[in-house]
Amino acid sequence: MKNRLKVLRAERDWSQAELAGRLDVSRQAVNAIETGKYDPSLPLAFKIGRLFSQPIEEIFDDEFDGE
Amino acid sequence: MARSSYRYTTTKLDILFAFLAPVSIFLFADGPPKNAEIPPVFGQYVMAAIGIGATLLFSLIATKAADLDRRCAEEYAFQMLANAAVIAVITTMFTHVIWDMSVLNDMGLPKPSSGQIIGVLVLSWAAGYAIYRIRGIKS
Repeated sequence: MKNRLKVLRAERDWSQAELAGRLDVSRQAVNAIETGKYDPSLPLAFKIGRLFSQPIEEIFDDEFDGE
Repeated sequence: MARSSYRYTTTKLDILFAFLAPVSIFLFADGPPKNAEIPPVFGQYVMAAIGIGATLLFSLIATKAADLDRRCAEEYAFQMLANAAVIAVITTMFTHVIWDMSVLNDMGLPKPSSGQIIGVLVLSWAAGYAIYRIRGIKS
């Protein structure tokens, strides 16, 4: 699953550790999400959406083409 | 409400499994069960006291370990631990079954000792953790 987490974080000039603190997860978890090694749970995805004031689908792309 | 520090980290888990993997080698080095009769050194009451003392000590260690788990209880770390544990259990079961096959024992391979089986469990858990840590957890 692709995501724009790294871009959104960079726009706010936050470090991975800073974002991790805001999301209450580990820095490694943020890194794993950004590098596509880990898909966050729905509650965490909502938390990310709320933090960046954007809907989940604007941040995460499940590459589903609808067919 | 910015927080500069963060509560969760997998660093301690990384260190724990990096330590456990070599420890498992020593467990593998444990030889086959010895059949030699060992004369009792202590009486049964002393042995009971040692057993109780060891149990209390291990309880304290387990409590400390549980504290570590709570600090790493975020979903990413927990999922890695759980996935690696599943790998460890399956690997241990298969290894035990194959190692314990009579045809292999007939070929000279001794039956596995309890220490060696625990070695398999620890090493496969550490290996599973390392694999998920490097490869990632994709749903």
